[in-house]
Amino acid sequence: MIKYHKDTHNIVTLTLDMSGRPDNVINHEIGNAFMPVVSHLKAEKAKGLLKGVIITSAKGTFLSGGDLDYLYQRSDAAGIFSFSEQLKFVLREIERPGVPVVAAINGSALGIGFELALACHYRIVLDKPSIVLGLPESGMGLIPGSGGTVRLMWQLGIRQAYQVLTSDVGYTPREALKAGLVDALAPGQKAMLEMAKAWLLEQGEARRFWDRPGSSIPGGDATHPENIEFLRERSVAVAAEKADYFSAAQAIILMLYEGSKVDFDTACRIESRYYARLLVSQPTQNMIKAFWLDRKAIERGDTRPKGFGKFRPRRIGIIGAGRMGSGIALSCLLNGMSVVIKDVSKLIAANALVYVQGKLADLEEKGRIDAQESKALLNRIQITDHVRDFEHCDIVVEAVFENYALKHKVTREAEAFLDEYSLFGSNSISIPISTLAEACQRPENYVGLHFFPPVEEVPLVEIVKGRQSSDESVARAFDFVRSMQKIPIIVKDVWGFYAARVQNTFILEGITMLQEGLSPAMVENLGRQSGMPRAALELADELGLEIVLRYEQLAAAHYGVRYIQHPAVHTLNKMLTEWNRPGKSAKAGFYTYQGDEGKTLWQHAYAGEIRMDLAVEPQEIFERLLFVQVIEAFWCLQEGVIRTAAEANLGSIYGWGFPACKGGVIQFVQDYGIQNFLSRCAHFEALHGPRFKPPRMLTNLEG
Amino acid sequence: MNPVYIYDALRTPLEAGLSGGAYREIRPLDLLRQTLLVLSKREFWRHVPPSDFILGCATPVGDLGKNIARAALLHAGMHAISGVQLNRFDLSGLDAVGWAMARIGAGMEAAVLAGGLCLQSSLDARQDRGAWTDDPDMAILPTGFPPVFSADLQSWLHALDADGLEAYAKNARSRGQDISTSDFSYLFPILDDNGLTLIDQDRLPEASETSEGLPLLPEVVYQRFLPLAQKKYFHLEHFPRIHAASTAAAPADGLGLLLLGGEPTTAARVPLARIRAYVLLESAENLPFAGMTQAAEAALARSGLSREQIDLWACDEPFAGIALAFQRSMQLDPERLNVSGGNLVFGRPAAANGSYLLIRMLEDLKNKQLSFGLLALADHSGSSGAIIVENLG
Repeated sequence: MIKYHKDTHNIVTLTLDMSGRPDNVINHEIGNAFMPVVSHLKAEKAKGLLKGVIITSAKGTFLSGGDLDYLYQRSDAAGIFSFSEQLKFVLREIERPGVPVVAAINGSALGIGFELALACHYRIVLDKPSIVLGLPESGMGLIPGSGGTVRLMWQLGIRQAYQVLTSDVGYTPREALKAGLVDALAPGQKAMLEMAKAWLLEQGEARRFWDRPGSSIPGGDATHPENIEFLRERSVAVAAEKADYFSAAQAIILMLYEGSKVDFDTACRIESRYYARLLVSQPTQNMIKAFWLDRKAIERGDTRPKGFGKFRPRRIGIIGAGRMGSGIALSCLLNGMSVVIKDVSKLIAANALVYVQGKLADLEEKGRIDAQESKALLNRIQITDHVRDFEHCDIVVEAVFENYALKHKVTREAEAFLDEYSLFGSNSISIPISTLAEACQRPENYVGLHFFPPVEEVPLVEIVKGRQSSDESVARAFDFVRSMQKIPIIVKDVWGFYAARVQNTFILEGITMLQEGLSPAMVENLGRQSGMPRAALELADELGLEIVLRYEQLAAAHYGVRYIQHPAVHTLNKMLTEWNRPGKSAKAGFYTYQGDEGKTLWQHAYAGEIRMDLAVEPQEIFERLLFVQVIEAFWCLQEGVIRTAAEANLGSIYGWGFPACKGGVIQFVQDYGIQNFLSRCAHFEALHGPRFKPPRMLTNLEG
Repeated sequence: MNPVYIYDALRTPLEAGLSGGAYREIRPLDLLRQTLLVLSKREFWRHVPPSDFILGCATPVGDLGKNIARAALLHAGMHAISGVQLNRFDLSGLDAVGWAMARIGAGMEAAVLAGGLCLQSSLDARQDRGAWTDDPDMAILPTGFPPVFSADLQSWLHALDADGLEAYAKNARSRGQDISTSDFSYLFPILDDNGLTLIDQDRLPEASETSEGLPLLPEVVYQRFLPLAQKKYFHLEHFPRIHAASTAAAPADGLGLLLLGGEPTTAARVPLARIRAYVLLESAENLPFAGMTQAAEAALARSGLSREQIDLWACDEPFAGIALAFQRSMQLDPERLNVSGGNLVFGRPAAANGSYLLIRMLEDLKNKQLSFGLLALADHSGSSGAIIVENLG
């Protein structure tokens, strides 16, 4: 699993090559593999037969991080602590003995994979923009567990280390060089090994400066006033934006605060303690469930209709050069596809070009792509005012205004130039896909592709399967979304599909609280503090109250006599008809808007009076706001609106920002405990009505 | 507890502002020696010399570091008297009196010298580091709110507006102008070794023309802490950044010392006042500069006196909103609160504020021949204190 080769200069090359898998993974068994090699190297060194070591990989990636399957559902802090200590021991054995070690990074190295590189004395990486480096653990509620926080702190100083440790996106080789994460870029594999050898031949004993007496952290430790100010500021920012739980960002702040004031090895043990504390915590476990297990299930195609060959879209047609169309175009371009974008005139279509140019310039600025690549990408986008240019497109996505007649017209026009295999996707928000499909030539090829703004940032797409959409079309849409590196969830063609339908329950619950006499500020504050990224009234205003009400009317039409009117409908009707406050677009909704950003809550007593004295238990409000979403998501599962827990969970986190620390709407019940959840539902149902009655699917879980 | 009396008092002139002057021209050690020697020559000290000296400093670093009280006693040749330095932030000077009271009341000591010393112009409070100031976990507690943020927030909680604050500050500043004509004062000048005067009367803060009206609380700081305040006050959407330079107290340097003892035994020992109650508590609001009302109520309850029996009221004035909120919630007649001016007029000698305002209260009671006075104090850590004295002079 580790190939050993020694050359005439006494330079040993260790090539990681794990058998039976496409990549190298460092895991809890790594000690077994590495330790014999390390002791052999030590013996060689004692005999004077070792000049230096190069660590590289035989796979496409350098080393992949972690073993989250192994770490999921672990609750023994002691076991995790010693796991972390064991990994650290191995890396320390590479770093400390004095033999110079170079990491020749030939592919992506994330998490523990990058920690191995950090433990080497010198890092060279291939200059390929597709390579990703970094420590993205914080995105999963974790921190590096092999000394990564400590090494970064010593290497970059407290403030820089914080930025790297809390960034859950990886670094390209050039960005990594700029950030001080690697020492050199190599133009190719051969050159990289030569550079490594040349560097090694110049070295005597190799010691990182933190292993030399009297050295100090660049920029000082956490007694330096600027560092204190920085850490406290971050601490306030983290506390301000998250619900109340111990988060990775908090652990990183405390780690830098404490760890910078002690020696390297003590700091490493402190890191192990925070690592264990986070890992066994429910929020981190929930995040691992969502971002690792659920995500992997979708990425490997568990939810894709079976039996259809892989669709590899190359040329994408887009109708509508607005914000959505432009975003879709950019995402396609960045993932190797060509784009034809059409609008009513070339002049308007060119808006997309301007947008894409701007975004590419940003990426160039950040070192993600170079000028040449940027130019090549721009060459792959064509603007047009005529549908005939769609002739060679594998898929056409329609992203025009939310208007039935307009959508219908553009679909008919485009279809004329598409062959019978071409897929047609509509970015409809509220018009049923089946209705739109009725009028088109090949309804079986017609699906909904619901992107979320901003398209290039939100990693989720709802694939809406209309009544006539074929499974093959869904499978092809799935492949299209995956080729944009996004997460597809397959949803049924009902009002609001999945995401907007469930999100609407959160909004309605907030409005209901107004009617109970809570102050608008309280509804918004507690809404945000529940862990939701946006508060209910703010969201209502942005969507427009008509849409919020329309979803509810569609629900009424859907359920017929079984429909029980939501109490919030009363206020929505009054807002729309009596008080003329339809939302942000009219500068008057639950908020009053001044200028671009300024807004203040409309001070209105929705229930006749605002009861400032109302005894409110915040936990009760948080739970109400989250429970309604969870219950609605279970209705969606039961009615087949969404089909798997994995899709429901990720859809909720990416689609409308359900708290990731809960692992998504379905995992929420696991986290809360099904018994507790049902008895809490009974409590809410008694107080607030039948919308808290759990669907059968939930009560069945109890058995 | 045995009754505790105040027998003597001494305050040095306040000097407002951080650019410093007189207080920078003398070592703290010499300043304290000078005042110790002045007090020791006076009648009460000669009859019952104190056996302990409790000095509140709040910033025990630099020349005030370690145990400045004992150092000063040794420097003054008073090696028989013990000394201790106390840090209760801005309540240090008041709580030094509280400690002295407890020791005398419990029968441990016959007489104790207590008070506070504040040297903000030369000793930067930011030098005094600890978990309180540094630890990231302390930054997210309400007690970590910046003082002016807390003052603006409390003004919002008490529905105070900018006009109300300005009016309060204007009224406050109209007082104290006649202090120099007062016929009674414990004020002592500071001299150098040659006997030349360094400072002999309060130096008032200069009214700043330029920054008036501008909010003291920067927008970015306001935005940073607002979500944390909303976690505590659910009804809070926005609050106005209401305090400006004109409605906030200027920092000041100063020293106030009081000599406390037990029941008078000889005719020669005529006390100035009796301490009727002292309370130090952590406010329910747990906010910087909250809790004066709570402390005052508790002190009243402990003394057995009613609100109506209190002739004069004094309170901390770190910000106009804090003082006005106290006045409103205690339903005080403005004419009986800080009658000869408070911190908004003279500046605020943080760690010495309690002993300084207490001495001013004794002066006022004596001048006006009144009986009971109540002083309430607050600090940026959320603690507050109140003391009730009965004038016997």
